[in-house]
Amino acid sequence: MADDELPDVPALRVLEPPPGGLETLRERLATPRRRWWLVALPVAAAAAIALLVLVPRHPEPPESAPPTALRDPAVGRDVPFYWVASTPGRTPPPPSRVVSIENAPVVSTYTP
Amino acid sequence: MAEAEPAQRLALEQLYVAHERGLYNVAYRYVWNADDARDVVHDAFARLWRKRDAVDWDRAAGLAYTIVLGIARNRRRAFAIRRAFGLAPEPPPPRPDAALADARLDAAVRRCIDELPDRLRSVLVMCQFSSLDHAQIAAALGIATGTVGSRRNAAIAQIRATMKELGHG
Repeated sequence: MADDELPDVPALRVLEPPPGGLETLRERLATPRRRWWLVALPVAAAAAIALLVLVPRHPEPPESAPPTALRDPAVGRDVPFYWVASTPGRTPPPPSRVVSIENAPVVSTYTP
Repeated sequence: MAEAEPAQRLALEQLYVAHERGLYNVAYRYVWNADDARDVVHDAFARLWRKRDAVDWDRAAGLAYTIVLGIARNRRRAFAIRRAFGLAPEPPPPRPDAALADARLDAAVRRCIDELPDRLRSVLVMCQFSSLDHAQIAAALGIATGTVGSRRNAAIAQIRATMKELGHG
């Protein structure tokens, strides 16, 4: 096979088109073209109008629950501080550690 | 315009009869299906008919090939998208009795053509199957006449290289 030749296989052989092509084409050209967009335009317009009518322009705001006061021990044990919200805005800090010093050396400021 | 219609209809039908086989074969190498290939050609002629008043029927062959190539490319792309989403069947596997060397070689060549970039594939199938000369092919594809030959050679070289890789050298 020369360098500019292709193998003789069905994929590269000339195929005969199916018979009756011209008749089918004539039938096709005789059939009026379906202009689907002529239908699509009124349907889209009707859908837009329906949306305008059905969807309220100013929907009522959803009813909010009355504010509740929650005591926040993270702020302080006996501090009159309350979150006026459903949840505090931040995670509570870890509880404070009590540091106790046992057997501490006696420190004196006495100087003879 | 209406009085020109019978002459235009005759010109369209003459064009179809003269180039049906070439157009069908070009389309077939894109869609690999007889019905789809014929549909592509008929779509192209329906489009030509809608533009009949603007068509120069003496030079319409190149335009017909251009339209066929455009429609065939779109169909191929749509088919690839459908297949990617699992909406189109995978191409049938080689027959089990494909021990026949010819069948395997044919499948390999088909795969090589499928893997060609479109700029090479369009030139190759037009050179192989259309009855147009290089100048007409160049005009139909919007490229220089010399490019037709070089792209054809590049396509053949790529097919031969791929076939060698597949063990059909």
